[in-house]
Amino acid sequence: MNGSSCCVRFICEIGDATAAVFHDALKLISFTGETISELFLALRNPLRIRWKETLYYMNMCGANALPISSLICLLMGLILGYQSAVQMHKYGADAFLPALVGCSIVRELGPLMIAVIATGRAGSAFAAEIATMKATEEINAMQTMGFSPWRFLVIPKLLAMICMMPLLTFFGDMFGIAGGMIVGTFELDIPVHTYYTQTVYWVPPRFFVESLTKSIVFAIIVTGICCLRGFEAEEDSLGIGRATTSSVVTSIIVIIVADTLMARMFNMIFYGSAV
Amino acid sequence: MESGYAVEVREVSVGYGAKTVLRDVSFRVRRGEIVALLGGSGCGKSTILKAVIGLLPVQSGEILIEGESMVSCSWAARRKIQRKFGVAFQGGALFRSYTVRENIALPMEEYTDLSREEIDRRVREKLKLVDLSGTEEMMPGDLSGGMVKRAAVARALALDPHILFLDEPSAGLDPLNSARLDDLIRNIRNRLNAAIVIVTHELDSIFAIADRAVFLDRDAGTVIAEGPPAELRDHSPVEKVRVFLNRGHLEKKE
Repeated sequence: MNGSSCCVRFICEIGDATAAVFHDALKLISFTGETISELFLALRNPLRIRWKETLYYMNMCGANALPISSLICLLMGLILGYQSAVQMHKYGADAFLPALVGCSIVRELGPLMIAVIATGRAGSAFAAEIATMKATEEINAMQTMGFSPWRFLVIPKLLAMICMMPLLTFFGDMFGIAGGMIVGTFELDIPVHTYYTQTVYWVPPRFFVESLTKSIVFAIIVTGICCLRGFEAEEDSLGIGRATTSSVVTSIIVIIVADTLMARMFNMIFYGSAV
Repeated sequence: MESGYAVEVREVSVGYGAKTVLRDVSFRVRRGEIVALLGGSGCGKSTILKAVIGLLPVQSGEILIEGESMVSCSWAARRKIQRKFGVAFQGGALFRSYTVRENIALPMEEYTDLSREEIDRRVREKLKLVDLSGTEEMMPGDLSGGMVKRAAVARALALDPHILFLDEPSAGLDPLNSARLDDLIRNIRNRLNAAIVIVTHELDSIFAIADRAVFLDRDAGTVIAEGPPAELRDHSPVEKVRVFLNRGHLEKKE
């Protein structure tokens, strides 16, 4: 292969990649536009909302996820407590354990862990469900009946996640703090009442506002990306598998990027500077 | 109905992306007529059906449903036009999380002001029409292949459309179920005076129920013959069509 054909091929590849990026961006804009438009219509006329499906998804991604979410957050609190206790004890900083665990769980780990669990549990199910419906022509059937697939498939999931993620996050935060309290009480002999008052002192309500705000943003990200991946899936079993994997991977990456930006934003709001 | 036809396809070219699969396809279907779109695998039968029902944008040409354009209308208008016809997809495409009753009731709940009792009565009526009485509370996953297809036809009939599109209705069915479905399609045509467009390559069905056949060819990328199936089989000037409709017997003789 000579140099010029290599150069032409390189330019073609750049062209193809650029076209693919634009194509993806177009699909994302179209998906976002449809979702916002349907959400607006649903909020203007709540009778349009498919409540049966919404309640089903609330149960699926809320109530059914509570045990696993609580357990993971409790363990996260325990792990964080143990690791911190060892180091803090060396410097006689035992009294700051409630602050460290409380702030870390409520501001970061609680919403983040809940979002990751929701991605694995609900998000992957959303992508697989929509991809399967696409493969079995159910979405085509919906369109030929004049129904908007967004109204039937995206809005109920989005509303359910927006309602349930903050609740799960709040419970997760509480269980995480409880995990730290178990370590503080049994390993560092901090009385439960002292641990509680220290936590209340170091974790003000605005940190819960941050936690719950993040959870709502994460709910929108998980639902949006997972539904989009479902709609984009190729119509075969491999396509369904790929859509599910891609939905989870993309969601987690975007969640972490969004978390980074929000961490900076909330620091600016709370303390007037990013650090 | 301005044009006098239930379905009118005028010189439609359709494809995927920049690739054109079919060029200048034209055919018309009157009320009370059963028209079969046929041709070998990959000739574009399902592609033209998708274009007619609004699932695939056309590259050029015009599609009229009861005189209203599916091509040059707004998105909202197209949704209205889509309510004029029913579609039964190849695999049934019943919503798997809904019962059979919910599947059939859905269009009525969304587009009519009928009471719950009236909707239930109509659902029972549709199910009786397709010989599926008593399956109201069953899930699609609990039905056999033939039952799913018939339930899909019942759902397509939910709003009493004048036009019905059936994509490979007999595919994958045993001869007995296939014959029952053919009877059902004839029955619907007679009772509702509906225009029915069937995409198929099941010859038995074509000869049993179709008034006319529109033959699509992959190589030509368009319609190469049109007429009553028996006439095409015996007298079509296009050899490919005669071979196809004679199950390849002419080829063997040669």
